[in-house]
Amino acid sequence: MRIAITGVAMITPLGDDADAVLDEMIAGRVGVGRFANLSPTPHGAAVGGDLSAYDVPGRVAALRASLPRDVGERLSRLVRRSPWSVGLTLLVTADAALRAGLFERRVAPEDLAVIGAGNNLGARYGEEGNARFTKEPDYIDALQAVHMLDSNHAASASELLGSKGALLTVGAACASGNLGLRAAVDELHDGAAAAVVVAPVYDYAATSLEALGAMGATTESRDAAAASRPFDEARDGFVPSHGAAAVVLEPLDAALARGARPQAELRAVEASSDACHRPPKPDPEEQARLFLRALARGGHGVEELDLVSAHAASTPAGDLAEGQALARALGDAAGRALVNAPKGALGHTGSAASLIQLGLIVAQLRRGLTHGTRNLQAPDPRIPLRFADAGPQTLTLALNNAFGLAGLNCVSVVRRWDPEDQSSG
Amino acid sequence: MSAERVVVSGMALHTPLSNELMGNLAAVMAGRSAITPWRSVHTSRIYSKIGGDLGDVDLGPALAELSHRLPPGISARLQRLARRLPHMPTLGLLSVAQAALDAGLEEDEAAEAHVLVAGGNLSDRLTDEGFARFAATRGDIEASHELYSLDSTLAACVSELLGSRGPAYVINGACASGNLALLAGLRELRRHDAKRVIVLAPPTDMSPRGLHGFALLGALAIHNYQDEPNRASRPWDRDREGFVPAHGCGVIVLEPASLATARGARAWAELCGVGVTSDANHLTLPNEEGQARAITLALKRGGVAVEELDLVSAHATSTPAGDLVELAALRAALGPHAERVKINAPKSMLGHTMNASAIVEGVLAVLQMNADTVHGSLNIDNLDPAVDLDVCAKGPARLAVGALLNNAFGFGGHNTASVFRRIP
Repeated sequence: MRIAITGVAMITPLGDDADAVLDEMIAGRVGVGRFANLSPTPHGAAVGGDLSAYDVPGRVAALRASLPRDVGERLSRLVRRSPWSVGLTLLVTADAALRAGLFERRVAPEDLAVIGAGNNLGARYGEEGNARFTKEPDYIDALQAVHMLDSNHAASASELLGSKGALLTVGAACASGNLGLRAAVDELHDGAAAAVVVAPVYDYAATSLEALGAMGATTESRDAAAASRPFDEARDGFVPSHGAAAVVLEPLDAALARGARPQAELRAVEASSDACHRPPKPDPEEQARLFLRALARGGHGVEELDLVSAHAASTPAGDLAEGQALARALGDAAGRALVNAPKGALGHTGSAASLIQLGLIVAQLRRGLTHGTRNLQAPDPRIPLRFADAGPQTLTLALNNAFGLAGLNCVSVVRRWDPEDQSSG
Repeated sequence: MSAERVVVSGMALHTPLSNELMGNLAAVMAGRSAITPWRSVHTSRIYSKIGGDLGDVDLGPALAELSHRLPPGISARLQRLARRLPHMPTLGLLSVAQAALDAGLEEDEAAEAHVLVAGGNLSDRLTDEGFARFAATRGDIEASHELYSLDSTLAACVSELLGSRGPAYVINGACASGNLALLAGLRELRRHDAKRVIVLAPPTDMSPRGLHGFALLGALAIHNYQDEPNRASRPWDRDREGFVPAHGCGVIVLEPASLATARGARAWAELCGVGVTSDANHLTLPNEEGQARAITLALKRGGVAVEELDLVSAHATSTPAGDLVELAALRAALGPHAERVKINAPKSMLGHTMNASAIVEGVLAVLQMNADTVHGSLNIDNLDPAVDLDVCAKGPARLAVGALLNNAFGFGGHNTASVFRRIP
């Protein structure tokens, strides 16, 4: 079964439309600033990609102009009653469904699956709740028992869409988005007509930022624009960022029959683990095997690969391992395939990163245009790859990498949609 | 895709009643309750005073005993991980090791497993303690706080324990998580080339704040029987009030029947199918139609006829509305056959093991099937007059179970059911 990506939506500090975000990145803009909703901590990253001031009511109003009336009403009601991060989940879900044309094409509610991607998403909600609980237990959020759950994101998305099919949430830290795609493909194979995958914003708490800093995982830089520098010699840790994304997947043939416009084709999703949770020790050999397995699963050879959207979070060990794994897997093709890393401009959006990357890949494939890697000025000499510049390219096949904390890996393979190619191969 | 039969080739179960399979079976057959006053949870500021508590269990003896029986590599990694990890994840890994032993897995066989951890928000107590410490000191937090707050880290730890490079991830559907993990397990075997799958449903380490949230929602039994905790969880009784939260941990090893047979493994049961539906409602209302669809889907996918069912391990949490909605859903899905099955409520003894419940109760149901017996539903002193099905109010019974249904429903409209069949 071939799988069509029929809708992609995102909210990032550089915008809430994949084409616009790509344009911003190509224009050299950076989404990293400071978290307006968190006070600085002793060791926590001083910089971050912030969405806490995102205009939620404005976005609700804009989407309602296009949504069916009942969906628009549910969107408004659910966003107002939900924690901030769930609000963003609802917004990207509505946007992705709109872009996929799900509301026009009347997918039966029982045949629509909703899959959440991410775990332990509501850290700041929990931190604030705990502060309130410490003062006066009876005055915590009366719906905390619902709002604290990671599963509430997908459940809220399901209420918004009116879906009654499979509902589940997968988590693999920063590889969650790709794992969500993998689960969605399984749902389609088992009979779902469409699957919406939503990767919520990771709502960083001050405590999480401090712990990540103390662990040495995040950057010590105070220069927001220059802090995230994937594959660069001067990289020193990742930049935490807000971001959310949602994707609609459908069986290609059925989607075409229903009048959908595929944005790209999802060829394969493969997962693995490093069998070592600490210290996080990325394993280039395991990663290289994973890349090749994913390509083979999609029916592709490594020589077909045009673009790699790297996970590269700007950590010394992680970028090196990924770079070496790519060089190993690509072999002779390393001189051909282009590599870029969106985290240079966007920072690390956690569980949503691989779906945001997917949206940017779809835009790049569709427009024949690549973004460069922000702040990649002096590439680490141990990483022999061909890095993409911003500009036009002929692109057909792309690899979307994601590696989660504690050695959880998942990559997806995406092909440009060619309307001429409607064979079911 | 191969639709080969999938069997349960190993299990483990850890509840306050016992840390062994047969110990748990004997305890529920004897009608013992796992519910006591909370010992490991500070309750002075919250309404939840009772629960099923594994928070203060000494894992040392079980770890020591296992160390001699496990393959040496797994044994060494278990001891190393146990020194590092918090209590509840350690209990989870201990249970994985027990299940690997039960399945008779050699080192290289264990290393082929894909790893699924069922649940979400599993370490809230630890996370909250970190928040509190950080707030009090503004800066004093362990570097590992974030790592061990993440549920996904436990999946990575299971991979490390088994030496597995296969996929490892968390699958979450609130209190229906266990059945979702079984569904994912079938897919790992049938679509993702797994030779075996380890499903771990670890204990949910609830924080006082989290427990208080359930109480404020009106979901917990916090008024009646607080001085007699063993009587507080009472599905289908007239005086039921809400659920009683509990720790519990279950593990299921899944394998294609042919591979299990080839290595001479014992098969406890066949996992036939899992049905998953939702209600388009993110709150906590049980929905008869959605539950019935999940049950019907599980039977259809599993190729099991309604008439083959002999036992239903009910979700029945002891809430006024939920217990009756589930019976109505069973009537809708099973038709007249609903009157011929035994329906029992493991939560009447174990309390509600939250994320873990579908695996904990699934293991318990498979044990009953293998022992030709079904446990009773404890604490039905006055059967709710609205109950018109056989809910095992009178206690345990001898019964040859050919196939069983294992229900689990979670907040947010998560409806799931799994179907197991007896190995001929």
